[in-house]
Amino acid sequence: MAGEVANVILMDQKFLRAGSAQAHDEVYLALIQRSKAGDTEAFERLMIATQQKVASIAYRLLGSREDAQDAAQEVFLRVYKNLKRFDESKAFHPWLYRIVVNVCRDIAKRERKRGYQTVSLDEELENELIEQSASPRNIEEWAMARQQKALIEMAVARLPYKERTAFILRDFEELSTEEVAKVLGVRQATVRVHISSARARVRRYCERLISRTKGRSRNELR
Amino acid sequence: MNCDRAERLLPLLERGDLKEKETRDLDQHLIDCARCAESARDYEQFFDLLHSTGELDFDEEFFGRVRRAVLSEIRLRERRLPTPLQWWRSNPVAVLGIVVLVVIAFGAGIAVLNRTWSGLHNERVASSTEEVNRVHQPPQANPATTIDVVKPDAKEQRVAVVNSKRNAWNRLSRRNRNPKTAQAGDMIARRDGQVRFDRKPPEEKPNVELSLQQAATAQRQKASRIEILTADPNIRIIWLVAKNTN
Repeated sequence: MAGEVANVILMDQKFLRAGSAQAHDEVYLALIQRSKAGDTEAFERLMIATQQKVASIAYRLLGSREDAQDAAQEVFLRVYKNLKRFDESKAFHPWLYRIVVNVCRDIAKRERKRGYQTVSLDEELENELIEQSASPRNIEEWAMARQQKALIEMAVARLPYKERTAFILRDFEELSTEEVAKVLGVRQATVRVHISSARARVRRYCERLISRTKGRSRNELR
Repeated sequence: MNCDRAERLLPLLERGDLKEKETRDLDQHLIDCARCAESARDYEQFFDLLHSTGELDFDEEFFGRVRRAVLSEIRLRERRLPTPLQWWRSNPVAVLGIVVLVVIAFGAGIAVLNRTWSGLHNERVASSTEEVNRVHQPPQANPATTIDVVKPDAKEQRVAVVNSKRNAWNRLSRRNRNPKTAQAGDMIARRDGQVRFDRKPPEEKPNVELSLQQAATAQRQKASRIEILTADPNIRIIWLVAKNTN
């Protein structure tokens, strides 16, 4: 299995290095065709090639690793089930992203009905982050990648679902506005509104948290 | 462009999400407005922060669990019997053909059963008739069957007349029910069924309705009876078949 993973990653890297998007698509197409014919090994390779993106989007949309894992499983099952209906003349990734977004929306709804907090990065974690960053030892390391990542994750987790989806697809997955609109099934103007609002909210949240952190650390230094 | 609009467009500037005209207008506004220009610089820092986060880290165990769960579920589903809906999705033409064949077979089966049943019934009737003929065959050389018109007796005829007149009473208008208001020649009747006629009683037509009971009673000892209904409800043809006295 590890050999296969390496094989697919190498295959992806080779095509990416060559800069041949067409060749890259052809690899996916070959895997899709074999998977359609019932080749589970090809489908496993397809999963390996796309699992990082699926898991990342699911985690950013749902805010917890357990939910992301459940979502990834459901996504791949839906992909396998609906693969026969996939139009091979179109790109695979937007189709995959649409499934991920739909599955995550269903899971988020289900969790909301159960009364669970969709966002696991709650107030406690936020305070913990402030405590860590405000201590004199870590004050200079505030810009460390891990904390920055956590800060952004917390900010993204607080966005409304539609804005969060558009923001993640545009700014993390780097889809164009047009592609995001296609994935979400909305107009480009709507996507721009969502993205604008989401970026403003995330920026405000980060600034507020950083200013709170700085204030606390200043008090502790006194 | 005012600052409010610039504030709304600023998040879209850095990643090139604005239209050309909007970008030109916003750039011009940023030259004129120091506050919005500072806000634009903040957004630049924010995007730097955003891009510095990189990809999320998931270990191989995480992905391994996902893949194992998916593949085992796929194998489980493949082992299950396909539902009709899955058949339909996989091969609609074949499913349609099978459905048509089943419908045709079902219809043919019903037709065959129907024919068989009616054949058996006819056979049974025929056999019973033959049996009757055989059993009730008179030993004499006399003709076995007679066609007779049986007249009802006087009592039954009277009852039939009363009943028909009682029905006539029910059909009478209110005026005719009252003897005082009834016109000469109208039929006067009472509720108890006793009927009289004011002047001219209706002509009694000979009732040719057959008394089946009487016919049966009269002939019970000697013959079996087959009734034939005619177009006239008052006339029935009774086919008496002499019994075998042996």
